[in-house]
Amino acid sequence: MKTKKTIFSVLFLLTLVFSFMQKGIQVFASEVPNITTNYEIVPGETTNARIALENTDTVSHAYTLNTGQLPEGFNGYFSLDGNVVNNITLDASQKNIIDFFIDVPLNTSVSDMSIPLEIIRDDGVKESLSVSFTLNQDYALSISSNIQSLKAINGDSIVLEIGVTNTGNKDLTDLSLQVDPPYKWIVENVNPTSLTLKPGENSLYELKVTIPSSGQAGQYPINISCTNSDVTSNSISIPVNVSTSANYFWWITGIIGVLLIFTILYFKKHGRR
Amino acid sequence: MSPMLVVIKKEITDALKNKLFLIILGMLLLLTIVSVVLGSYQVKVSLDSYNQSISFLKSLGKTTFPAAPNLNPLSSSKSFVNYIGLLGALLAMVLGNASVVKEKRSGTLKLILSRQIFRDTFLNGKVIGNMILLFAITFITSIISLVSVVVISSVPISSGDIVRMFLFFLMSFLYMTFFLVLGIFLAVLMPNGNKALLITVIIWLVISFILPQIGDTMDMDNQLPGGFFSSMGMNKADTQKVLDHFKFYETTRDGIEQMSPTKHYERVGFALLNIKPGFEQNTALEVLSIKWIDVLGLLAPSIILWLLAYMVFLKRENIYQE
Repeated sequence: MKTKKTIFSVLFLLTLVFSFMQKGIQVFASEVPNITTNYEIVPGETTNARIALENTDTVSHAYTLNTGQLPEGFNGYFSLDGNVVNNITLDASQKNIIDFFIDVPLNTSVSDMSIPLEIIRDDGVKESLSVSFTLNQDYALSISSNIQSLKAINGDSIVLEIGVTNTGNKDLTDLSLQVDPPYKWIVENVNPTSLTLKPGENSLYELKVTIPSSGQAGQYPINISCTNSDVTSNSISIPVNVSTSANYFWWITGIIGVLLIFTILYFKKHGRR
Repeated sequence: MSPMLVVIKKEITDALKNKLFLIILGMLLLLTIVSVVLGSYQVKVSLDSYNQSISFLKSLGKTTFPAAPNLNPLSSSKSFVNYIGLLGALLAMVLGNASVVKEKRSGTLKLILSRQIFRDTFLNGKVIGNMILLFAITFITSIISLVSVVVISSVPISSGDIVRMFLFFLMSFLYMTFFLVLGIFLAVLMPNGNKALLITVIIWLVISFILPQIGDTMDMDNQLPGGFFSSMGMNKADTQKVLDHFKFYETTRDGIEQMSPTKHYERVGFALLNIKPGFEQNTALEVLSIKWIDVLGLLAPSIILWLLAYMVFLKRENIYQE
C-alpha cells in the first residue's frame, strides 16, 4: 500500500513537472479582431502584419524575434509601440501585440509568398509562425529617365523627359508629376499637366526647369515622382552639374588684360624709376 | 645677390621682429591648433560611437549594420575658415601696411630708392617677401591640421583628402595675399600710414562682413527666423511662384555677394573640405574646376591691386613723406 502511494506520488509529481514544462510561448496571428494571417501587399509600399505574443509561463522571459529568408528587395522588421525591436521581454502570462513590417520593392515579380517567423525564448524554446502575403497589382506605376546626369550653366533652362508606365492591372487617371527641385530653381512647365494611362501603357512628361543665374556651381539633384489618388510611383533623382557661365571669366580676364596693357604703356611713357 | 632678393630677405627678417605681427600670428596658430584638435576629437567621438553600435549589434548576432555616419576628417578644419577670415586677413593687412610705412617712417625708403634699385623691383620684393611669409604660415598650419586629423581622429585619410586639404590651404593663402596687396596698395597710395591702415581695415570690414551680410539679409527666405516661406505657410510651388517674380532682385543680391573675396573663399573652402554637400564624388581638381569663379574671385582683385600699386608707386613724388 505504501509502495503504491509512493508510486502515485511520484507519478503525480512527474505529471505536474511535465505540465509545467509544456507551458511556453503562444503565438497568434489572429488573436485580436481584424488580425489575419494573410495580408495584401502593394508594390512600393509597406504592409504590417500584427502578431500576438503571449508568455504562458509562470516566470518572465526574453524573446528573440527572427524572420526567415525574404525575397530579393524585400525588407522586414519587427516593431513594438513604434520602435524597431529584435528582442522583447514578457512577464508571466503577459501578452503583447507586435507589428511585423514588410517593405515591398516597386518592381517585384513575387505575387504570393509566405514568410516564416521564429520566436526564440531565452531558454531555447522555439515557436514558429508563417505569415502569408498576396500581391495587389491593381495600381502600380513606374517612372524612368534615360538621363543619368545633366550639365547646365547657371541662368539656363533645362528640359527633361520622364517616361511613365502603368504597371498595374487597372486604369490610372489624373496622374501628375511631382517635381522637387533644388531651392530657388523654377519649374517653368510640365507637359502634359495630367495623364491617364491604361494597364501596360506608357507616356512621356516633358519638364522645363530654370536654374537661377545666382545659383552657385555644384551638383544638385532634381527628385521626381508621379502620383494620383491611388498610387505613387518610384522616385528618381537626376543630378544636375551646374557650372558658372564662361562670360564671367572673359569679363574678368578682359579687365585684367586691359589694366596690364595700361600698366605697360604707363611704364613706357614715364620710364622705370 | 640681386636687389629684389635683398628686399625679400629684409622683409622676412623685419616681419619676424614686428611685435604686432608676432602677436597676431601666435593667436592664429593657437586658435588653429585648438580648433583642429577639437574638430578631430569630435570626428573620433563619432567614429567610436559608431563602432560601439556595431559591436553591440554583432553581439546580438546581427549581420546587417547601419551605414557608417559621414565621418569627414576634413571638417575638422571648418573653424579655420573663420579664423583666416578674421585673423589671417588682419595679419596680412598689418604686414602689407608695415612693409611700406616702416620704410617711410625710418627714412630708409629715400635711402633705398636713391640706390640702383627700380621702384617696381622694390615693390616686387615687398610683395614677394611677404607672400613667402604668408605661404610659410599656411603651410605650417596645414601640416598641423593634417597631423592632428591623422593622429587624433583615427579616421583613415585618403590621398584625395590630403590634396583637398592642401588646396584649401592654398586658397587660404590666396585670400590672405589679397589683403596683403590691399595693405601695400593703400600704404603706397596714401601719405599717412595710419590712415592707410584704417582705410584698409574699413575695406576689410565692408567686404568681409557687410557685403556678405547684405547678401544674406536680402535673401527673401532669411527675413524671418525659420524661413520666410515656411513661416508664411507657403509650399514649394508657391515659393517658386514668388521667386519667379524676383529674378532681377536675386541677381542683384548675388552680384553684391560676388564682390566679396571672403564669400568666394568660404564657397571654395567649404566645397574643398566637403562641408558643403554635393562635392563628395569629385576630385580636388574637379572641385576647383567647378568653383573656378571663386578661385578667380580670389586671384583677380590681387592682380588688379598689384598693377595699380605699380602705377601709383612709379608716379608718386612725395612717397618719402609720412
